[in-house]
Formats: sequence, C-alpha cells, structure tokens
Amino acid sequence: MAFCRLCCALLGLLVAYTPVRAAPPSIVVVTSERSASYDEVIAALAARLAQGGISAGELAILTPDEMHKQAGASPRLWVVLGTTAAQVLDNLESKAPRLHLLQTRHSFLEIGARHRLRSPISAIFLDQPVSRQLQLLRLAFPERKRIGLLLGPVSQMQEPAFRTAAADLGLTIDSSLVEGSESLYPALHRLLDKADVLLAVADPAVYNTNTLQNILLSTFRARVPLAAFSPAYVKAGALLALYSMPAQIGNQAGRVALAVLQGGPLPAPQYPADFTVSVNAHVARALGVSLNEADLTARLRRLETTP
Amino acid sequence: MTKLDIRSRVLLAALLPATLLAVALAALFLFDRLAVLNDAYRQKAEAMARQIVAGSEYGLFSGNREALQVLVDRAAREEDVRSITLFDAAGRVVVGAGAPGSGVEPDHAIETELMVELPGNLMLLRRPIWGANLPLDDLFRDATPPSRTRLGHLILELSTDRIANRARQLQWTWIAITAVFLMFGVILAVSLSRGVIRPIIQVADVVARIGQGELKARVPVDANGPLHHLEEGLNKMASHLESGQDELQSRIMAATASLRLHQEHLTELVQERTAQLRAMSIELTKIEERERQAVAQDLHDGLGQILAVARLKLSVLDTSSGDGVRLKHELTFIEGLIDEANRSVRSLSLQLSPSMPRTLELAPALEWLVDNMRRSFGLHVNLSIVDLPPHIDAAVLSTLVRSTRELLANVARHSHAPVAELSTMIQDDRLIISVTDAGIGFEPLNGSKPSTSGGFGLFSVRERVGYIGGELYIDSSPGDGTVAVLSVPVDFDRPVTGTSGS
Repeated sequence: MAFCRLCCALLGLLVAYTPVRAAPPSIVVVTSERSASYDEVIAALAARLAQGGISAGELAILTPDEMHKQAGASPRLWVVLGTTAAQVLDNLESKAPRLHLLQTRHSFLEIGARHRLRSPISAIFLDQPVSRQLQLLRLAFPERKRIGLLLGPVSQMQEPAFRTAAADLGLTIDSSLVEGSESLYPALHRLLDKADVLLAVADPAVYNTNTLQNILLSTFRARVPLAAFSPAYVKAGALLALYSMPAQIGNQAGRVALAVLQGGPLPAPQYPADFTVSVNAHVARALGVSLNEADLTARLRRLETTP
Repeated sequence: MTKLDIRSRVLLAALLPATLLAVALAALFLFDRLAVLNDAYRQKAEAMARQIVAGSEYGLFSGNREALQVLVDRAAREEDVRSITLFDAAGRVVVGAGAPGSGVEPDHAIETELMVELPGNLMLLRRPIWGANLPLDDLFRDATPPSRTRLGHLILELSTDRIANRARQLQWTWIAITAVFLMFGVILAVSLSRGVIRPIIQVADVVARIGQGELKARVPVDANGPLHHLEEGLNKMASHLESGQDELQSRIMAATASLRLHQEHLTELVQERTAQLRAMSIELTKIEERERQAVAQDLHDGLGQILAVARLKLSVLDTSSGDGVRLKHELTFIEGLIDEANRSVRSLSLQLSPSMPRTLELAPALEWLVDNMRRSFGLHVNLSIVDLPPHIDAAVLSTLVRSTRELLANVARHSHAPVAELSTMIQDDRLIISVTDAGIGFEPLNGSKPSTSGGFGLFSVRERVGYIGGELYIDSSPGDGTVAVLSVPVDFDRPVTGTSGS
C-alpha cells in the first residue's frame, strides 16, 4: 500500500515538478529535503492543486540550496516543508503567506514567535490533536483508564490539554517528567507502576533513537501498551500509533493552497484532518490484545465526524 | 664434512632436508596453532564482553542491580573469567563478580574500548556500554540526532593461564612429534639407504683392494641393483688391470732374461778377451824369447862366426906377417868379414825394428810400404789411392801403417799370392784401407786369435785399430782369397786422431 502511494507520489512529481520557469510561479514549495516522505507530501499537494485547476507550471519546488533561484520572487503562497526550510525562510523578506507542513505544533509555535507577523503564516501540524489520541486509546483499550504520559521539556506544555481532554473522556492522566537521561528510567518506572497505557508524546528529549528500545523494553516487561505517534514506533515495537501519512497532509495542504489561490484567507494552523492507525500484530499477540487497524481508524473517523 | 664416510653422507643427504622440513612444518604448525589459540581466546573474550554489554544495557538503564548481578555471576562462572565489574555512567561500581586482579582504576570518562594483556597471565577488557540506537525513519526525527547515551562500562578480567598451559602443551607436543618423526625418519632412512649404501661400500671396498694390488678382487654384480652398471664396469676394469699386469710381468721377465743373456754374453766375451789377453801376453813372451833366440842365433851364426873368422885371420896375420901379399889378401878377407858383419848387424837391426818413414802423410807411407814389401818379401803390391783425409794424426798414421804392413806381411807369409791390392778411399766419413789378395784364404775365426806363426796377427791388428776407434773386417774363406778392410773415422775439421792416443 505504501509502495503504491509512493509510486503515485512520484508520478505526481513527474507531472507537477517543473524547474524554475521564466514566469513567476504561484506557489513555491521549499522542502528541507528530497526524501520519499517529503516527495510524497509534495506529490499529493501537486495532485490536489491539479484537481483544482492549478497547472504544474504554477508550482515551483526548491530546496534551501536552490533558494537563490527565486531571489526576489513573490509567489502567492509559500509552502514550507520541515524545520530547515522554515529556518531559511526566516531570512526571506516576502509578504506572501506561508503554509508550514511537517512541523509539530510546538515547532510551529517557535517559528511563529520568530516570524513576528511579517506575513500571514499558518501550518498543518504533524502531530495529532490531543482529543483524537485519547479517543483512540478509549476505543482500543476501553477498560484501561489510566493514561501515562512521559513528558519532557517540550511536551510538558501539553499536559494541561491532555488532562482536560482525559477528564472529558473519563480517563486519568498520570505523567512523569524526564529532566535528563539518568532520570528517564526512574520516571518511566514510576509511570509504568500506575498507568494502564503509555501514550507517547513527541519530545526529542524523551523519545529518540537512543531511548526508544529501553522504553519499549520497559513497557513490554511491565505489560503496558505503548501508543505512539509514528509508524516507525510501531515497527520498532510499539503496540499502535496514530499519525497522518504524508499524502494525507499533502492533500490537506493542497486544499488550503487552492483556497488561498482563489483569494481566500490563509486558514489558522490546524491539525491534520485525515489520519491513520497502525498496529503491531506481534506485540498485540504478545500482550494478549486484539486490535484491528482499519476498524480503529474507521471508528475514530466516525467519532470525529459525529457531532 | 670431508671426514664423513659414504654411509654418513647418504644418511645426511636423506635426513637433513627431511629434518629441516619437519622442524619448519612443526614450527609453522605450532605458531599457527598458537596464533589461532590466541585469536580464539581474544574472540571468546570479545564475545563474552559483547554478551555482558548487551545483557547489561537494560539493567544499567533501569538500575536493576539484581538482574545485573545475576548476569555477571552467570558470566563469572565461565572458564577463565577472573572478574567482572560493571560501572555506571558516573564511574561507580554497580555490580561485580570475582576478584579483580589488575588494580586498574576505572575512569568514568573513558569511552574507548581497551584490551590489554597484563602481567600474571591476565587479560583485561574494557568496554563502554551505550544505549541501544534504534533508527527511526519518520517525520518526527530531529534534524540534529541526539548523541549516544553512555550507560556505563564493563571491566572484564580473564585469566590466560589456560592458554599458557595450552601453549606449553603444544610446544611439548611439537617437540615430541618432531622427535618421533625424526626417529622414524632415521629408521626409515637407514633401512632404505642400506640398499644403496651396501653396493657402494662393496664397490668402494673392491676399489680399495684393487688399489692395494689385489687385482683379482671382484665385486658381486646384482643385476637388479642400482649400481650394477658400476659393478660391471669395475669388474671389467679390474680384469683389464689384471691382464695388463700379467702382460707387463711377462715383458719384464722377457727383458730380464734378455738382460741375463746379454750379461752372460758379455761375461763370456770378457772371459774370452781376458783369455786372449792372457794368451797374447804368453805369446808375446814367447815371441820375445824366440826373437831373442833368433837374434842370439843370428849373432852366433852370423856375426859370431864372422868375428871368429876375423879373430882367426888376425892370429894368422901374426905368423905370416912377412908375406905381404898374403897379408894383403888376409886383410882384404878380414875387411870383407867386417863388411859382412856390418851388413849382418844392419839386417838384424832392420829385422828387429823395421824402419818407418818419418812422414806425416799417409800416401808416401803407403808407397814406402809397397816398396818395403817388395824388397823384404818379394810381394808385389798394387797401390790405389782413391781418396785420403787432409790431415792424419801421427799416432793414427803409425797405427794405420803398421796395421797395413801386418796385413800385407800376412799376405806375403800365408796367402802364397804373389800380388796384393792395396787401396784407400773415404766412405761415410770413414777412411777405408783394404788389402786384397787372391791367395789360399783361411777361416776368419782363426784370425781373431793371436797368430802362432810370428808377428801380432789379425788379433793384434784389430786391437790396435780398436784403440783409434777403428774396426777390422775380414772376408775370407779357404781357397777364395782374402779381403781385409780397415775402417777408421775421419773428422774433416780435425786431423784423424786415435781415441787411445797410442
């Protein structure tokens, strides 16, 4: 499935991507890298624009190193993918609105603080809304009410939102703050003693390549399921993950871009509208849990669409 | 090396390369085995350290001392493990097992791996323990990946006693295998070399015996042996030597017999010559006595009678002194007696020592001799001088003239030939004087002995001519006349001289 999506994205890229032309493009996409995920976002964006009548010639794609080719250009919309591209555009004097993609909510807030309202700026966050995450946990583990949060310097700011949303859903939040690498295990240990489910919140100080294995080991030994925010975590050993695929984000960005090009205002920063749930069947079997990806996804969508 | 015999050389040639090869292979095997042993030991230590590190990672992360203690205790039961100590990231000992013997103080800041061999057969490994790095390919990854987290480190001490013992065992095994191999090689080489050495020794022995003169020595030929060609060749050579020696021996014996014959001949010759000299001495004594008697007879019969008649006549003169005619007749008669006495004395004198011409040339001497023969013996001699040397020594000339006179006198006395031929010539650097008559001849063998009829005879002539290096040849037979030839060497640069000087 992922391979098919990637092929479609690459096809869209072939159709949409055109080097800088003499006529100024309406949309300039500045991407931090040309990896498969980023290209998938761009391909979905281009496809959605094409569906809206925006030809491929009005879309320019640049990497930070190619920004000099658009020196003085004034597109109608900047689409900024990733942190590196955002840092490059910080120094660009342009009144055109900017739509940031593939940024967590926290990262975007930092960018917005630096931007100082020079031009309209918005984003489609990479991370999922708190309520959606808690809804998923309630759907996946109806009997597990105690949700554990291992928070770091970044994610601890989301703790109030989690507590509020959890209270609305009848869940309890148990959190532990990690202040350093040595405090990770004690914090995790304390948390696993109380929580029924550990919900991972993106924070590089807590969840990174160095810590993930031991966190997974700890949760597995404690038989506490780990709900993560990335399919990579599911692959590494987390029980399930809630996330938005690049194509889903690109498609949503295309809708925003079309609205802007049609004269509409740049919408407020928003969470991804579409999402995906992945389950590690091996871990589920090991934990004695029965979960179905498609069922969870469909039920979660129904919950969001039901008033 | 030069003092080694064949057996030693063959054995050395067979064993030395094998020995060197065996030692080299064994050494190679030993060093290779030791290297493999060391590598295996190090790999085992590495594997054990990796296992402990991997197993202790989560224990250090979680601070689970009990789990870590179980881990190190279980690892410490492994062979060769002296001690295991786990430290946390701050360098504090978390758990340990065994008795650390290195005394190496851990440094919590050290992040490098270490493997050292310490005194006392101790190997120390230090390995940092890092948090596992799990690659995450997602959109949440940070642009700057977090640095690795060091959870602590491990110090593992292993005893190398077992590997040292194993090395010693290998060394002794190597020595034993090499010794056994060498012994086996010696036995094999000795047994195999016998087949080669024995024939060689037999050949060498036979060669030595032949060298010592034992030419009948032969080496037994083994038709299937490796040296049968050499053995056959040696036997053939010995046969040739033996036959050659026999032939040489026979030649020596023949030469010895010939020498013995020559010696006997010479002895006979010497004896004959001695007898001849003795006979000649006796003959000379007789000749002298005969000549004395002849002289005495001549003096008595000739000169004595004359002197007696003269004495008688002188006494008559005393009594017939008055008769003058008679006296005169007597005086005339006495004068005649004195003349006759005088002639008798001259004749006797001439007979005792014939007068020789006082010349240094041969031609006048020969002419005198011809005349002398005619007057003394009535022999007519035809002289024919074809050639003469330019100079002749006086002694040689005297010998030649006397010898020629003797030959002519022999003709006059014995051949009954009225005429003789005398000729001279030079042939092959030799002066040839030949005397030929057509008389009664004689048997030449008789001429080699002193004549009993007076004079020196042919023997005397041969002896005299021999003194001056010449030779006398006689060709005669009864009834066929005689040819006598004198041959003397002529040196045209010097006068003809005699070798004896006489």
